[in-house]
Amino acid sequence: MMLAMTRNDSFEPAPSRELEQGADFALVRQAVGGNMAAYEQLYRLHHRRIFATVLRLLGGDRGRAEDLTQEAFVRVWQKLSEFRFESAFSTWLHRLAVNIALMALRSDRASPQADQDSDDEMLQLTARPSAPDAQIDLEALIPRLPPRARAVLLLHDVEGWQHDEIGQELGMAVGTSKAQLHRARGLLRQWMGGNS
Amino acid sequence: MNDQFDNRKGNDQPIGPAGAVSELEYRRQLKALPRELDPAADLWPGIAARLQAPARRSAAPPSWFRYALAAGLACAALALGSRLLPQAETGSVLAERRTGDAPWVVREAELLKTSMDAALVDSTGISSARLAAHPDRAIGASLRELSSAESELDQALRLNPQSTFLLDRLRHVQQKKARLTLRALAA
Repeated sequence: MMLAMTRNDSFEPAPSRELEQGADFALVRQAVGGNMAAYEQLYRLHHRRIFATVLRLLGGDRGRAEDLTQEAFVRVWQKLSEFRFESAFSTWLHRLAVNIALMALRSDRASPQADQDSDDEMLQLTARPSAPDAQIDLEALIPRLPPRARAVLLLHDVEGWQHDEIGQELGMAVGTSKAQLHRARGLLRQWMGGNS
Repeated sequence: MNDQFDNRKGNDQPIGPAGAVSELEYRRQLKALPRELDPAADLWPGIAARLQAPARRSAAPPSWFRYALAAGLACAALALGSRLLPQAETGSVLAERRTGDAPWVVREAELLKTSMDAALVDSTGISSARLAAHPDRAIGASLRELSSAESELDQALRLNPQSTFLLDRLRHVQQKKARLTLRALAA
């Protein structure tokens, strides 16, 4: 599968990325050899970005995001020997963390109380008034989106994934992913304008 | 970030329902989202503890109750599997999942908990309550905390009887409890 271009990859100058990647690779090699201190350094370098992504995917549930961030770093440690040094370590790590967060969202959908947001009605229901008279911060509005629409929006607009990758991960058709994205953006822009 | 917005990219006029902010404003705020956020606490100690757990187990000297407990837990797991298997074969579990008539997740959680507790008593003669009063205060406190988490998850499962996520969390807590129990017995 093609690896997604992330914001990290998009906005940093190439020399800086190469240096970071080289440093990451050196640390990964040490960690694969069982060097826990090296792995801690990798954690210190990357955990904030992983936490931010997982937190947003989970709709702002900080406690759960912390649990899943921990889980991601434990799983990455267990899978380190599978890392092939063909892509940036941050991309590989990030992808795994996103998968863990998406699995958590999928398990939520199995419960009776879960958001069944794959249809249009749910998106309409969520278009409720938020604040009548002021523009609202986007960060505060993203958690109000239904989980799947939120995941599509974050993966596409923030993380830089393509619709086919999103469809594959979320088990939806490319067209559905595009539709969810279109509606999620529309809702956010409405809410940002203080509209119900 | 994907720049694959529609062809009206760059147009700072509101598009869509009246009152919505422009696409440009949306993109501006999107770019302003912080790339990194800090967790409330340092997560590394928890990660390190989980990474070191297997090494610590293998480094500890073997003793009879460790094997007895492991055998007991294995028996509990087999018993649990054998109780669930016939239902899985008849498809009734799948039917329950579909209809929600019977909380199969809750039942599995109860079986998991009672089997683990029974295995502990059978193998060591020590109850989980007695272990929680372990002379090592740190171990005792951790065991009590894990038991408390177990109870909370149990209650949450009753409210969300088909949440496989909660069941996964419960398994996770019980794995931690089993590891800590081994340490408590070895201490």
